[in-house]
Amino acid sequence: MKQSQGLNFHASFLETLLSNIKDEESFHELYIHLKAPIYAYSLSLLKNKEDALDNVQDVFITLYREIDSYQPNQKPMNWIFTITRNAALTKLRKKRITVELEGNENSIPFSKKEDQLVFQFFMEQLKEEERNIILLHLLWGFKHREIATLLNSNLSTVLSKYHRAIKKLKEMEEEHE
Amino acid sequence: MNKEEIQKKLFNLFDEQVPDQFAQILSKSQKEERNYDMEKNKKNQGWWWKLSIAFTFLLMFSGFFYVYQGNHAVDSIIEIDVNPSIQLEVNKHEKVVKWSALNEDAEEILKDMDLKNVDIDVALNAIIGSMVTKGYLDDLSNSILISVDNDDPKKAEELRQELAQKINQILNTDKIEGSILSQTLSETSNKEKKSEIDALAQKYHISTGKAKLILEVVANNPLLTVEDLVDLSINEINILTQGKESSLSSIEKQGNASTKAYIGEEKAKEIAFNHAGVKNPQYVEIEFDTENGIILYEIEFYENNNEYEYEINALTGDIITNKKEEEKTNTPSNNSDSLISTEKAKEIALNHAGIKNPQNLKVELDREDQEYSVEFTYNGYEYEYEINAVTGKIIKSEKELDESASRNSNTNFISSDKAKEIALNHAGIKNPQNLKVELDRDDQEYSVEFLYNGYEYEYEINATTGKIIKSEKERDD
Repeated sequence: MKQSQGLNFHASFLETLLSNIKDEESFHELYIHLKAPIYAYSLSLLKNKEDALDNVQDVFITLYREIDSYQPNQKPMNWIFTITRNAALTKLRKKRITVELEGNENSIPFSKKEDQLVFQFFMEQLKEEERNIILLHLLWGFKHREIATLLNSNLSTVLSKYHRAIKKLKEMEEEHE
Repeated sequence: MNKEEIQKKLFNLFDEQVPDQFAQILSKSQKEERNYDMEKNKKNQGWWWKLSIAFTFLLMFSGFFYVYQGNHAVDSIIEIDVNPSIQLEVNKHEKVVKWSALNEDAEEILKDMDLKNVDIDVALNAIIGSMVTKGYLDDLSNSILISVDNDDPKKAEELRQELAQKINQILNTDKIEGSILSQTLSETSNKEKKSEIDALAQKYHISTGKAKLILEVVANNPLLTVEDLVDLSINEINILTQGKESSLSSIEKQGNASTKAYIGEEKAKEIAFNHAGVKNPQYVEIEFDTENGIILYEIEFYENNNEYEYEINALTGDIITNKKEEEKTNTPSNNSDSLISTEKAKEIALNHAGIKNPQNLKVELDREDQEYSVEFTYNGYEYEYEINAVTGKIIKSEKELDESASRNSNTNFISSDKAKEIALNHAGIKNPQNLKVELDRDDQEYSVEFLYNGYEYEYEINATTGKIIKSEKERDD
């Protein structure tokens, strides 16, 4: 089966793709696997679909350009995460207050009503940090301990926020079942 | 929904939203790479050329070579920004090797100047003298930025101090009280930052020094953007950072930016208050800001639960925007003085819970939401409060069995074999296929799944009591 889900794949697989990034096929493969996690985290920070999509583009262009500065055996997802976050923060700085104004206008069309609900819940009901922890764990594959380091927090906080958020997610699901 | 399902759902949810932009990304990336290679080639060519010249010299006048090196090789690069931006390249003996205008204003300054082999002191004197004569530096606009780059950071720092002092002397003789910003550019250690600075300088055709200053100002003031600042003079940028200098860590500053060209804070306030018809404004805040290349005063104040916001052109006194808003929350916001203390938040939560000696107490202030979150455990329960940091009102209170406590004592859980047995007994089945038993510690439940005879069975079983919470049987398609 083709690995179409960008989750749970092995770091060495990612490493291989990265080292061959100038090869069109590898680059494309990388894109297929990573566009969702990168987009999700960008959206979580930027809170605006257009900006998040822009950020996805910028991140891939940066990966392509800066590949020489990546040292193999480093953790590839950490490197990609740093690039994603920096790119988003730069945009955020430029956008300043407008973020708050546009924050709630995430009218993204979904084919299924259920998806719409989950998405809205995710973006609006969860606090930004809870959302980031969930994303980084489930989509980026970071361990809780790693997330604590990335978000400058500690393990017990990350764990309790993670569980609280998952619980809320489940409760929401059940309500709508 | 188990973890894997949530994971898949989230992945698809976000994946769907990203249209396939790969073709675009690929072409942009490749194009960028081509440009980069071209530039690298150019640089390489330059380097070869220089090397071959040096070689020739070396061969021909091997003794003479060092003299050549000393007199013509560039040792430091010095940039002077006022509004005219000038770059000087000097050799080891601090004599000018090359001088260039980085913008149109600078061309006017450097016109007819020959600085070849001129001492840096003399060159500065001529340049600054010309800026004063041509009206770029005076009482109304007195800021100057000097940036020094040398491979040796120590040397750069020495030269920076020396030049800042010299400029101050020159301005003094012209009876101008200057505001001198000075910095070194020898931050080679931070490659990423350096390339960001260079990219900015190239994009807007400004000096590296000005680019660095702008990035630092923007980084410390999220309300300003790079685009806001690139067209401003150093005096204008300097004004915007007034009072916030401590945040500009890598820039030295002597003297204050002149604001004499502007109408002044008192006048600006008067204009705003009159326009608003307000007699007793409270919590008045006034600050310089910029928009579309104009320096303006931004004034905020309150009266009778109304919030007013004005932007006034600092040169002309024209009102650019004015806003009046009924205040929803209590006045004023974003001011930590008006927030209740951590102690107070704790007290509110404990009083509500009726508890005196909580354990694991944690109080956190979320400045963005202006909320305190207070968490503690007591007697096996976990309490969680959210308290409005302005009003002290309890927004949310929660009390639940402390999971971590019960988690540590999970010896009370029935075994997974027991859970399996319970499910199979209930289904009346002995030999299930694809049996999977999972313990969800959060919910304290076992989930038991298996296939049998074309049906899929799913059970949820309370991990403490062994009670069946849910049983499902459906055709396995």
